[in-house]
Amino acid sequence: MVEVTEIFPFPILECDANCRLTSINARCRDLLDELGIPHDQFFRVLPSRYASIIKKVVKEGETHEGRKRIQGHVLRFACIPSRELALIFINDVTREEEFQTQLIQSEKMASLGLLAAGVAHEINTPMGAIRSNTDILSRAVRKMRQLIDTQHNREVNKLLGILDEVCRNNDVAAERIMSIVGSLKNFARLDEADRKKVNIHEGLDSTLTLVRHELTHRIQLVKQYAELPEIVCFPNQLNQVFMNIVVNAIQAIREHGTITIKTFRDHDSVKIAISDTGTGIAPENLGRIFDPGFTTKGVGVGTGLGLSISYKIVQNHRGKIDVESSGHGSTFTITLPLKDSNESRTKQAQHTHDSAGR
Amino acid sequence: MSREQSKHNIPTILLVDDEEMVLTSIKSFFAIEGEYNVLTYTSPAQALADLDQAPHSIDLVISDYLMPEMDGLKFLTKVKERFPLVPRILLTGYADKKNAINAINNVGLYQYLEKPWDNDNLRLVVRNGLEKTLLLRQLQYKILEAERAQRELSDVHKDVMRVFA
Repeated sequence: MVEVTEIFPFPILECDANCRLTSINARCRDLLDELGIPHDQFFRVLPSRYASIIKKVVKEGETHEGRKRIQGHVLRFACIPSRELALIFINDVTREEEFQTQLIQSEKMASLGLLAAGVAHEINTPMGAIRSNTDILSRAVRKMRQLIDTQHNREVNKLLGILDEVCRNNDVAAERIMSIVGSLKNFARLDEADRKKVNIHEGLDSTLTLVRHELTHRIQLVKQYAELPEIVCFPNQLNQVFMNIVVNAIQAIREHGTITIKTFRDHDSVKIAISDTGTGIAPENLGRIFDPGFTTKGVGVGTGLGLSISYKIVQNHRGKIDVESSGHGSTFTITLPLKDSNESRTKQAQHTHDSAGR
Repeated sequence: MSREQSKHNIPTILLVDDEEMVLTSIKSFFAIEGEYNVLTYTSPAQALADLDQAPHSIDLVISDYLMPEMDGLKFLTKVKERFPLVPRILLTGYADKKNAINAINNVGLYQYLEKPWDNDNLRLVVRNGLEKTLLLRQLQYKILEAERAQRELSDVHKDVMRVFA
């Protein structure tokens, strides 16, 4: 028995009804070592209900399948009875789940890009008509002024004044719509799924336009942009990172507060620091915020994927994200290198190609 | 057509867009700011059918790109077959540079405008396009005139040669 499990290419361990370890194979020893768990302590990291589960497996011949996140690893296991003992097969599915998460998120971004392009196109036609009509109205008002003796017709003069005002107002409103559509297109950058040299401030500003409705009145936005060189990156992916962090910052501020976005150059890299005056991250959660699936926002609000995806994206750009947090708020600092390597280019191109699915 | 004649003729623009709101807006604009006669169609096929009925009345064509029965490039290609000299303008909400370059090369577009359009710019483009039509027509007229003069001259030449022969 021991010999067979020893060479088995999956982590396996064996225990008695009281969760006492009786045997463990080489793969399982490696896995527990990697997780920093002493071999005989494995059952300690499992939820307490496992004591009764293992008992049932051994005494009643039941089987059990479970999934548990330990130290950033996602483990699936199957427990089956084996004479007077329980055999536990472990499968480390961290990579698979991470990959799936990334795939889902990439698909989401691709759909958003298509949606944005579609919306922009659909809006352009009615928008063209509205802008043109407003222009025609103000031209008509001008011509009417020349035709009517407005000095002796104060009512008409007043009405023409109102028409002028309304036309100007319409223009401002139309410009706003145009800029939102522009930001949406710029944010998704469907046409630029490839690596490109861009000014990251453009991406930041597009992102901020899209979350503007969340900021108004409640949150003050402070931008401190430094003069930065353009960087070679995947702009649509970085925009997604900015969006995730800014949305978190907004949600961290319960009532009134400030979000500060500061960019600066530091040697051979650019840094983007996004700070909020929110509630901060609990110290015990600080180590887990980049884990896929970890969220404190509750079901239906957070997916727990935003920061883990952001982390991966920045990592793929050979950069890093640092977090500082206290009860007075948090600061996420994104560091991106100015020089980029061929290695990450190939890897990224592959990823984009796979995920875009087109 | 000579310059003298054209002064008395109001230029005619053919405008095709499947969206009525675009037609109404552009027609209203030219009613207030231009001295143009604007024919509007929501159907490119109907526009072509009517063009075949009255072939000489069109001075410029503006077409939308995405339309259900026929896209703007196909429509403008058909217009080009009938009237190679009439300037063709594509007015599109589908901002795509590749598309634009294709259009300009294949259809021989005079101009490519994006929605939402700017009325002043539209007027300028239309005015220049009409000017181009006029110049081309004048040029064609001059060429015909020159050819006729040359024929006459060569007839005179023949007569002279006959006299001296």
